[in-house]
Amino acid sequence: MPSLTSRADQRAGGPPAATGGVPPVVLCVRQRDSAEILRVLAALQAPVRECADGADAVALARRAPLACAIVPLAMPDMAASALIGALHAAAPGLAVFVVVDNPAVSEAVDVMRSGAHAVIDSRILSAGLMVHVAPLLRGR
Amino acid sequence: MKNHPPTVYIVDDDEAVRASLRFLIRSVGLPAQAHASAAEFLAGYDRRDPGCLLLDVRMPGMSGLELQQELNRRGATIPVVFITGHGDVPMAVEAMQQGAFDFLQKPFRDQDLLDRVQRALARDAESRARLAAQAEIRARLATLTPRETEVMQLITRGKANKVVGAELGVSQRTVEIHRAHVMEKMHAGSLAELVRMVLDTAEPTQNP
Repeated sequence: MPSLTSRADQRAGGPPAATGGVPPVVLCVRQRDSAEILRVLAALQAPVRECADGADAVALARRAPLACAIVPLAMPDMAASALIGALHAAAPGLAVFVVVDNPAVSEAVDVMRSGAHAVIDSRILSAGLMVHVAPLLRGR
Repeated sequence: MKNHPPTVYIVDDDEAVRASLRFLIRSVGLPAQAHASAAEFLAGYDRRDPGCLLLDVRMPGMSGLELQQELNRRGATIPVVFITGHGDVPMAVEAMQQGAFDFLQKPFRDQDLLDRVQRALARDAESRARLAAQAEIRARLATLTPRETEVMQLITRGKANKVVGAELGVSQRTVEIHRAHVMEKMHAGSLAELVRMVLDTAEPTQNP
């Protein structure tokens, strides 16, 4: 399944319709493990939009219906905790999954407290996506 | 709602841990109540009692996570601080997903625990105050007549008295009288305050 960048959408002129009939997409902020994430999401037949950074992700959340978001702990322009707040302001209740490399318990708790739906350990990324993201996509 | 001071409940199957936590909590002047099992805690717990819960994750019988689920099922809003010596990330994530207030891994500094307890008690006080305020508003809503309720729903959507009268098939003067009764019964000083009350008692919407 092709992954499109939201900035490309902006360049194309105008947001996609956020009305009925448009399937919600999975927002994925570009990260080290993007290839594996996209592979799993393709296997789950989930439409994906890949964003370059946090600001790009927030812009997309404001104009497109989203199934969920998969973001790294740190992005070039903001931390996951800040992005979660911004995404929730744009799309209240949106499930945001944060991919963390070998997280400590305290780190995972901090991320959860900032409003994440779940923390996914990048060392077991595919399994984590299947456990946390797949059930949510099945309920679309 | 009961007015006695908040209690810090401790549920841990290890007697030494229970004793040391109870001592620590009481050392800062807070009432503490320790239980050796989830079942023992549930047998004596009244969800109207203010406080917070320090909960061991792994216990024989009902685990800490199972106790948290049971409390959720019963509609208890008590903040839960998990304490564990064997914490792993999936366990912490599950606890937080179920609404845990915090998840603390042993060993920890006494002050870290006390800080979390104070924050949990503050959260409990806030949520109880909010629930009490909502209950008060619901009680006022229950005093409205069916017609007053209709008028209230329309005026809080921003409709003018004249429009409300046309929609309900009554005169503008009648709407004004109902409106005055609504404002009085709801103890609302302004339309904005009335709208806020209605919103406060509305169910939150979730996405997705």
